[in-house]
Amino acid sequence: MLKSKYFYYCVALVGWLFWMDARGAGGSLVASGNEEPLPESIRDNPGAYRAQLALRARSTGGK
Amino acid sequence: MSGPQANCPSCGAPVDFRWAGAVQTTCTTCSSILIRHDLDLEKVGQVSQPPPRTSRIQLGTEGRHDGKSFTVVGRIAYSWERGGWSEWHLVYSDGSTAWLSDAQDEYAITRVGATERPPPAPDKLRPGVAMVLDGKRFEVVTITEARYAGVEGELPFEYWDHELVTFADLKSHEGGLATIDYSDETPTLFVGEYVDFGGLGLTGLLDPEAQQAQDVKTLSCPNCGGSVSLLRPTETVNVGCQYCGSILDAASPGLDVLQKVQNAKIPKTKIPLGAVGTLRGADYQVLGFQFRTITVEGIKYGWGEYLMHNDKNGFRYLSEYDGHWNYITPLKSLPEVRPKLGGQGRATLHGEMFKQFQTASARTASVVGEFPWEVRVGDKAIATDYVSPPRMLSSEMTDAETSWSLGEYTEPRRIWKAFGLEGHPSRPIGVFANQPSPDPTGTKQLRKIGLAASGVILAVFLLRTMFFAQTVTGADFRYNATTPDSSVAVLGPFELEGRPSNVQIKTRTNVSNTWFYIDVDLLNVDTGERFSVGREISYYHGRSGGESWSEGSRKDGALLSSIPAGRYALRIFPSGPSDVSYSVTIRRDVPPMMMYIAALFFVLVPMGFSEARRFKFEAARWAESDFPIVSEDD
Repeated sequence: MLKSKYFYYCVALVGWLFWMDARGAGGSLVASGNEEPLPESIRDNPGAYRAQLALRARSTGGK
Repeated sequence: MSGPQANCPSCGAPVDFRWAGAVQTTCTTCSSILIRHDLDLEKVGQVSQPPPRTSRIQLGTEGRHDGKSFTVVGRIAYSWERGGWSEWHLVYSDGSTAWLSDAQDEYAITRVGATERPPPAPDKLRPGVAMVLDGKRFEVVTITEARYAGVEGELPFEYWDHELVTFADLKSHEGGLATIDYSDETPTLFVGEYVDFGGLGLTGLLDPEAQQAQDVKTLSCPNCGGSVSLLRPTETVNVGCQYCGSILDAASPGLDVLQKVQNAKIPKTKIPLGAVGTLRGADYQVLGFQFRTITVEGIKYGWGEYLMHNDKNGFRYLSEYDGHWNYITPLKSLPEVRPKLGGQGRATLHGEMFKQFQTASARTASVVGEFPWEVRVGDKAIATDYVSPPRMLSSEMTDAETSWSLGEYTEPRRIWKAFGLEGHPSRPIGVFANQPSPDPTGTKQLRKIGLAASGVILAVFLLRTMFFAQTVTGADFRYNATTPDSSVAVLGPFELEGRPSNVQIKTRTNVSNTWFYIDVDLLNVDTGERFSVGREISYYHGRSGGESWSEGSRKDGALLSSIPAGRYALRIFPSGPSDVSYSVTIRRDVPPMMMYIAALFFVLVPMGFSEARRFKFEAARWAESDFPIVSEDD
């Protein structure tokens, strides 16, 4: 009785683990949100984007 | 079968020989012992009374063994401290002869064996001495000083004027037995095997009911006058009076007192003497009871041993200690013993391995009821137990004998049911040497299931790590607290493909005795969807009190869940008090290690409880042994 309960418990646990893993779960708590998409001009230009961000950072004193 | 005929020179009565090769016979009319010289008979002695009966076998009994029929034509009877026994002379249908030994309901057939060298003198033998006889390895188990108790019928040699005879009994690991008979100047070797009484197909036996009716005896103890019933008077050698504890001689007509016991503590038996119970499909009658003790580290431990008898199986024992019961069968074959000097020895019987449990000097503290051998209060033997739950192998060694028995743990309620005892058995105290674990099968199966589930989890984790997790991109950066430009960095854009799955942001730094903090935004450059997380990385180290120490880590891995496919960039906003070089790597579809560890933990916890319970049980078992698992110092 105990062994069959334990068997199903293990099956459920392993199943839950794989299902959660397949969903890509298990990460840290993150904040999410939406902002304006990046302008086309800098989407493929990380240098320009970084420069823009740096400029903004300087003007705001941070992020 | 018929042989020559002659007349008794003493009484003139006709003497018919069953076997033509007989050298000696006994006149059935006048009990003269006659030696045959061809057809002439010479009287050499007189049998005062028939030798004591040791079983239902008698002259003329017929049976089968080794595919041949045989007839019992003669007997030599002996007695010794463990009772009486008979050597029945068998003549087979093919003219060959053998001896059927009949002692305390154990039967063996032996024939003269071949020896390359004469067997050692009896004073050179002791129990445990090994030797090769008739091509097989044997060990001495008993050295017997027997008293000749009479003859009857036809024998292949002259045998009538003996008094004391020495025998050495030997056993092999395969169940064979050998006897060295020191009756004559030249010792004679007999080798053979134990046989099952029922398997011999004996006919012409004594009527059991007639024997029983004749046997029952009630006498008085000459010491205290108490009533002493003898259930098997012809086989009983000693009786322990259940009123005064005296040991009485059952062979003497008036039950002579062999041992008076001062201040005898008469044990109260849980199973009454004479009770009949059905155990393992056979009816056993309880004949006697001994209370025995061992002293270990100054503490006396005592247990009871009931002697039981069944006509077919012979003698068995039931032992009881603190409510734990064992059904015990004397062994006919020797176990293989591998002693270990200063350590735990092993014994193997029929392929089953037993671990040494305890060796102690066992003392008989009191005796009640009847025994088919000599027994005294104060008898001592070195008792060694080996266990393989639910079985226990036990040896008892004295100067003259080593005997082996196999005990099987028996639930008390089975004993109560078997003997129809009133009330309930007392609850067993503690864990007994061969008590089976509460659920050994369950524990093993739980272990199998738990290990299988753990194996699956680990295997999938490894497969996921090796074949599915992908490194998407990465770059090195440098942060300078005084350079505003370094307070922002961008990694990407990069493509995340496939189903929604996690994204790991791995950061490696060179921080040393400082901290470093990064805010990261994973930004979908096409949709503006953003996932943000902040991480602190700190690493401190040094030496204190002559020992080095460290705290924290130089690296970090942040896992973001269920990130859909798309084109992303990583915005990094580092901060900290000092310059830091750091690298950031983006990995996709990484197995979430903490979840795998958690799953493994929850799989192993129930198994761990089961194993811990088993360990606790085993520790309690072995705590009573010479080899505790957990020593008292721990």
